[in-house]
Amino acid sequence: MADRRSSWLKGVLDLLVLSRLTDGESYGYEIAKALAEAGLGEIKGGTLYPVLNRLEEAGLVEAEFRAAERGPGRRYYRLTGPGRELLAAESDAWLDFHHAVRTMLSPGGTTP
Amino acid sequence: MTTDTYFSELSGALRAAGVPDEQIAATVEDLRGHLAETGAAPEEEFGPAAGFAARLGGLAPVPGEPDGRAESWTWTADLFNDRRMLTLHGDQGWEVESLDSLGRFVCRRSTTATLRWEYRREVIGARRRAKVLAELEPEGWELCGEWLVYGYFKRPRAATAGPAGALEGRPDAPHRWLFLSRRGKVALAVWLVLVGGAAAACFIGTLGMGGLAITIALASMFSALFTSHLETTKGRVDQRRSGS
Repeated sequence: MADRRSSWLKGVLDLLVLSRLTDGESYGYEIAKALAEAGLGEIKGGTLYPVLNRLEEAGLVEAEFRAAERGPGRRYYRLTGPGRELLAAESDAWLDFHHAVRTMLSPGGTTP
Repeated sequence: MTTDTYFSELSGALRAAGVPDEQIAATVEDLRGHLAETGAAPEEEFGPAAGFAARLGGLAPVPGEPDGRAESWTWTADLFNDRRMLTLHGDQGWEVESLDSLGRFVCRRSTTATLRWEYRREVIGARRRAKVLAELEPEGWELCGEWLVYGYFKRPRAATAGPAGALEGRPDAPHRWLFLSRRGKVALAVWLVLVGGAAAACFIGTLGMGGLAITIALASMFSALFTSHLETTKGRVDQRRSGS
């Protein structure tokens, strides 16, 4: 079951990360914490940071490293215009997919 | 492994993959901050350093490089020759992006490529899939394509070899696209004879279109089973030899 949940998450993690940035910038640990609090389970740094890197390379987020007065500096991520557009389009596609799965899995094959 | 040792190993692997020092320093500081907040050990949070570095940096083209400038090349080999040819071409900087529907390796090589690639092939049938992925992904192997029951994995050589994994030369893209071994040629010749015979029989009217289709399907199936059997036997012999 854990394997299946992790496969589901793999397919949608980039969208979840983008969605966490719609209200403003954030950083790795804060994003992981928000996803865990939303009930998506613990996202390890080993999974999250490569996703953030890929989103940055694709121009969907912008990153800025800022040194801190106390403690280590942090890399802050911000959604870009193309990131916002992709999130809107892919969220619709995901919701369509979710609806189709829900319809198939509901007793009698129709959504309640 | 201490946190310092972990980050020193991670920095070394990122440097070997061509990530600039300034970016490595910022990445390490950011990750140290993450660890301070989770309170976890680095290996537990990020996985083994070499694998994490391979997933983090050096895999994607340099940001800003137009994709059209990257070279692309598609080729194939039979089951006896694929691993040898993948090693050869990986050493020339070719990265397999996927396997197309014909089972050909679709490769790209960025004009700024600095990495050599290593590949491995594993049987990933339904039952073995999760187990194989769980074993290989922490070591930095990424599934780059599947063909029948075989999964092909790639990893930058720098993940294990450090600076020795950097690209030394970049020969031009080969003009060839088919690399058959001797046994592969024999299997193909037998297949051609059978299918050619069936096509001729169909042409002169002794075999219907249905018969031709069945012959092609059977010849293809037996050819695939035969080559796969030979390759499995060879694998077992190699395994016994390396075990003894």
